[in-house]
Amino acid sequence: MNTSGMDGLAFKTVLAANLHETKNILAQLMLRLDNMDSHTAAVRDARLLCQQVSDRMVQMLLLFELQAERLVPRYEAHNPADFLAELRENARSWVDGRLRIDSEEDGAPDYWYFDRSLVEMAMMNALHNAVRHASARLVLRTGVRHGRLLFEVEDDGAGYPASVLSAQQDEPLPVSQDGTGLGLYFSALIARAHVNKEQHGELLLHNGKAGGAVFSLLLP
Amino acid sequence: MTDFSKKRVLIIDDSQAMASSLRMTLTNFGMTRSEMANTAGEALFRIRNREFDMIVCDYNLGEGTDGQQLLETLRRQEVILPSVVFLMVTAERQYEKVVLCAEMAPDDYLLKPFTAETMRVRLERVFEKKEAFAPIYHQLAQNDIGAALAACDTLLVDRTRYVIDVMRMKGELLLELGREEEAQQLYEQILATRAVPWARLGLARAMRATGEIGAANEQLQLAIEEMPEFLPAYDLLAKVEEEQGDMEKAQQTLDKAIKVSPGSVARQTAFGEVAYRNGDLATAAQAFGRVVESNRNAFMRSPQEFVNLGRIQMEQQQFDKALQTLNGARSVFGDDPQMELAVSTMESLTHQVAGNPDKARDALVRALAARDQVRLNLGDATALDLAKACFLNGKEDEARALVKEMTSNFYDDTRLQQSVRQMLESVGRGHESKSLVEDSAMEVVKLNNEGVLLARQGNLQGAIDLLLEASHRMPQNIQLALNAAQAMIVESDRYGWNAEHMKAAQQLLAMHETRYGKLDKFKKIKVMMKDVGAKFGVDL
Repeated sequence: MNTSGMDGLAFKTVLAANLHETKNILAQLMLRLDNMDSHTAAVRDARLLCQQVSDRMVQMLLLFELQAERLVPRYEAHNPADFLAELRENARSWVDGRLRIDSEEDGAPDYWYFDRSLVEMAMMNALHNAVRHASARLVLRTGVRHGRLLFEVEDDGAGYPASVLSAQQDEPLPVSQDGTGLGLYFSALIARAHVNKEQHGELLLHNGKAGGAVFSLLLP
Repeated sequence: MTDFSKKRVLIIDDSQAMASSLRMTLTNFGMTRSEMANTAGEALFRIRNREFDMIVCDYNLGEGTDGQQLLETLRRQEVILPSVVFLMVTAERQYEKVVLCAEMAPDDYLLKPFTAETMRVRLERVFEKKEAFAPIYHQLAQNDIGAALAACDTLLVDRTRYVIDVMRMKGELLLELGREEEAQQLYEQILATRAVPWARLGLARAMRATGEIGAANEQLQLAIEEMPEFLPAYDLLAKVEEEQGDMEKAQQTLDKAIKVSPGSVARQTAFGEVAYRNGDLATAAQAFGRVVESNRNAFMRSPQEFVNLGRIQMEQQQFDKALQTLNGARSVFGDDPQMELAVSTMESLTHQVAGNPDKARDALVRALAARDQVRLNLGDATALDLAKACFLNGKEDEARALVKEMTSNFYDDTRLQQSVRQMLESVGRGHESKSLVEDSAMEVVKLNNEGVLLARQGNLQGAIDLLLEASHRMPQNIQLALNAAQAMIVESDRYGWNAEHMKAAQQLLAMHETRYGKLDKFKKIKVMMKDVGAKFGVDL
């Protein structure tokens, strides 16, 4: 195809239509893999790979969006404990009992205003990382910390490397071969885009007492 | 845990492959009773013919329809019960904006791609919520708004997790009951924590209902500033501006709304009407033309679309075009007397102006024949046009009867009275306007006042006799009906249960509920009837 004859608008339209179709196909692929009546390692791996493709595509789209305008979350009231349970059930379905996945929701409020799909994007990415690095256990947490809503993922792996912990939040983190840094960069963007009455959200990365990575998203 | 195996599901997706994937996923959850539809029309046919517990619908349905339009049609026209779950599925993140800015939200939505596990967890939640809301829906189905409100309060205490959704519903119910001050408090409470668009709109509605029209205007401007895509705010703002007498502003506001989202047929129609009243025929023709052109979904069409456009084309002296537009309605609606009445009436007027009196008379004969079939359901606009056509074709008695019926039935509607006067002027009958409009209105006022006076003098029986008799003579008159009902309810309250009169009161209210159920006075009398019923242990 010769794209030189296409003007910007036509190109954009074709691109948008194609992306739309890609999402549809990916949605079908994901559902079909999930529908397969199989617990073999091969199918499990295929499911995780499919989700990683999906993560990357969603990130890419967000990049396009960010080129055109700044990231404006669409706030709706959601129940944080429900949201966490959804993540936990997803994570459990990936690991098939290989890891223990717990959730803690002490002091979680009945509702909080946040952009569910953006926060889901950040948390899914964090979960995919945690599942890869954990040795036996993952903990998901929600609650209120200093007036902000907390969503946290802690694993019992080797923890974040020093390069990640020392990086500044407003620049892309060092992106590793598996793309971990890019996901964290997006998570920080998503956290900071959440604003309520002059208060901003924040992504905190640190290593826990036992040495595992702790990913904390704080939303105003 | 919800028993998924009993749920009947309809999956709507223009892609057969996606619909099958969804169906397979639902089957794995134990939902084995599912059907599929590939278009909105097919979906609507199935929904009208069968009961479903859940509808899973793709946002993008092709052919100029989307899932949101379908959802709004289903909910607004009460094709589905509030207890039916509506789940939207979409590949567009833009849909989140649609949800935030729409008057009606689905019970939940899923952004593609999503995992089966996410879908399962969401379905669990949604059915749990529907179960928690069941007592409210039950009362709404009985049309008992007061009891539904009480059910909201119970839920607010028992299940705090639904607080936001319950508050939203409670606000609607308070407004419906005419308890604006409480509604205002509720919305202000929500707005204190965050600028939520629907709360802003609710606050403006409460203010408008209490006559604080300026404050309502300010709230709506603020809502639009906070969220320029929030269309219901534009719609209400245009109405408020019209009430403030600023028709130009109202037209501008709707114009802005249409620039944000050109899709809505209702908004295009409102825009066309305002432009027409502002004498801006070119703009009105454009708006009505867009409605007729773009609205290809038969399930959302109305003959009025064609009449609106035809009228403008006639006024622009484009007679052939007008007749063509009007005839177009016949191919869409087939053999429908309501349509035939509206279309033939406008055809008669068009032929008249075009200088074809014979054809005008023929069209009027068709219109009157159709009128005999629809009788009571004459819309105001149609009745006015029909009266005009009758005057122009020498059927004065028929015309006068129509005008009398309109004005005596709704004597306090000044806008209608004004339209009637204008119509009379246009057919050279301005001099009859006093006898036809004022006198018939006066007659009703007189009867009403006599009845009220009798009641005040303690002659409740006399008042009831007079008002009931008058109400039988003018069955469409809402004032007479309400006053008659009120007198009969007061009678039972004061002098003990009168089964016959209470039944008559109940019938009068039921007869007018669809059209006037939202009037404050109507609501108050209905509450009164229930209270008196409760006092005597009768469930009304």
